[in-house]
Amino acid sequence: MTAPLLAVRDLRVSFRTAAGRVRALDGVDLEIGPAETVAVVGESGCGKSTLARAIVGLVRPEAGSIRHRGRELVGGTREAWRAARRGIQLVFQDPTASLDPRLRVGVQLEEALRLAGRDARGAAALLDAVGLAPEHAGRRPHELSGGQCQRVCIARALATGPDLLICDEAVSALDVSVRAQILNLLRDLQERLGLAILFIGHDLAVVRHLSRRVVVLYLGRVLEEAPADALFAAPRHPYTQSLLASVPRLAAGGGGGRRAAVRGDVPSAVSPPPGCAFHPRCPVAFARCSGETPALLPTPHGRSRCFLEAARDAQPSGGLRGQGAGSAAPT
Amino acid sequence: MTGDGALLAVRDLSVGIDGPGGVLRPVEGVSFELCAGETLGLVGESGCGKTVTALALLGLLPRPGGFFAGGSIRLEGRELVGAGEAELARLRGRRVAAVFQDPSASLNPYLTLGEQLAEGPMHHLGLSRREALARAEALLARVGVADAGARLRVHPHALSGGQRQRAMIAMALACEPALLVADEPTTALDVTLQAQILELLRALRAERGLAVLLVSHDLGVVAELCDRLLVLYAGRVVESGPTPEILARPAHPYTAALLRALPRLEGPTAPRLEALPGLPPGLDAPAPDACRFAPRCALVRDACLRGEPPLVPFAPRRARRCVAPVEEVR
Repeated sequence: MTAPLLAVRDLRVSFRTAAGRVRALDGVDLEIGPAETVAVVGESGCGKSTLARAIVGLVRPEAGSIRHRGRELVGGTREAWRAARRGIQLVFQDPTASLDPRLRVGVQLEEALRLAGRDARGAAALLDAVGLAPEHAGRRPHELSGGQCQRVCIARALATGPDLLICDEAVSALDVSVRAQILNLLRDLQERLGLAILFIGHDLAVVRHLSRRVVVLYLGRVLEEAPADALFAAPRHPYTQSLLASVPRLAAGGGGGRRAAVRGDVPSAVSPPPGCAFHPRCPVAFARCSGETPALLPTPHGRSRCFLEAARDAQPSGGLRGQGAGSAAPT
Repeated sequence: MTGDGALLAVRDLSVGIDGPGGVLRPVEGVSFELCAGETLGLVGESGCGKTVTALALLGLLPRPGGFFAGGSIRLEGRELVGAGEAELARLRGRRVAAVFQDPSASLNPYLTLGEQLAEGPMHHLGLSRREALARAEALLARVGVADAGARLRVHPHALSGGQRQRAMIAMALACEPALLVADEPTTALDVTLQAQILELLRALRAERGLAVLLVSHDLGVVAELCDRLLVLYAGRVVESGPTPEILARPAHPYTAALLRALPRLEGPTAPRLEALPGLPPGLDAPAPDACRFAPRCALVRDACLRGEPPLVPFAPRRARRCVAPVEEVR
């Protein structure tokens, strides 16, 4: 196994809010190999974006470790962060909000190149790399479509020569056809430049298409991690099963009487439920789930934080999906 | 197709926007009908005219400069095109109501939920405040807001996103409208909440005989809820028909391309998606006397450029605006 490009260990981030202390990340482990795509999924408020922001140093972790190419970033100096950030770049959801509306696209790319200590004449090559024409350099963001703006954001992220691109809902605001174009572009860039991608998204079909491994977060904790094909074919954790079962299906056919797979909202992160944080919404929870916090246990392909995983080891035939979560099976 | 028995009959609807550069035509010649208890989906990319069509049913036009450029909208036999503002105001909230994408932008942050939910029934139905609040409480409970009585006294910020959207639906239903216009009602919600809201809309439609016009760019959502679909492109209907048939066998290259560009949860994954090249024409692009989809179409032929194809029925309940043989569309 090659050394990970990025290794996050037991990362903890909390925020002070008017309502109290919020544990946004509560001991998250994550590894990304060179040129690998790892997706982080979960509902709003599960800590996806905080994880992205912590990895580039935009929020300060309380504890834990973030190593990029073996170099520790937590507790590092500004200079160490600045150097690391050249290797790790971020692309956000709303491209128009991430670009300067007054500056021509070419100027914004040249600025990024100069800040990275590179030749500003590389802007044309960056535009070409993301499928834009040289004349786009003279345009301002409002003269471009949403998809073109997102291409500019990706070009700007490439200006520093990163080895890891973090895409935080980077295709969520785009139409189906433009989204397909950008997803294809990400895959091309990955192949050409050997980029690793940390893909944060809520659209599970997009995640399945793009990523090799998937990490499922819930209230700041990893509940499941597995290779994408294993996770989508046979999700282990009841939360993952619920998420997958919630996705609307093209085959539903109009009058579908399918029932929602999970009740209620994500609980407040200020006072998370005791025990397994998912137990109040879990279709297969039992007494132990509200009393103890399950550990992240190994599964055949990954890890899952569920007591049923230990039970399954003892009695391999006892499938979780037979116990009421069967609706989660992909239809 | 006759207008008999339909709750809503839209005929040849065109909407114009008078702008500095001339008149824009976001919607041109759109026709459809909707019966009680039925759900029709409007799909297409941003800027195809979905929302403008939907809002026109409420008598709401783009501002500034929006106007009805032609056609007719008959709701329960009453003509909305050309109706006065007072009449539209009587219908809005009473016979036709709307739910939008962002519930926090649609609720008034300064008023309690009770005040907002009671307003419609007091105004339209002449209920007393006490009666209206009792009705509001029952409705909030019906849409799945726990502890509805106490929730009437809180402000929107105290609710979660899912609860706010439930409250919006309760408000829309407060005067028992015949038609609900739902414009991307679950787009801002997590997939788990989306499933809950779709289930709620299905249940309400069944128990109240509510007609629903759903605007969505998400074909999965449309598949879950809609009996029939209208696929819009550049302000024109390019395909219409029953949802399962269109999704299984699209008959217009645009619909087919949208479906191909969609990553799937099942089946084999290809390394690349079949992305539809280019973008829809801008609103300010001059309308060509040709198929509007021709510049992006894989099946384009001479006939497509010699005039815009008409919307033609080709099978029971199905129509399409395309001259390529239907077997070639996939």
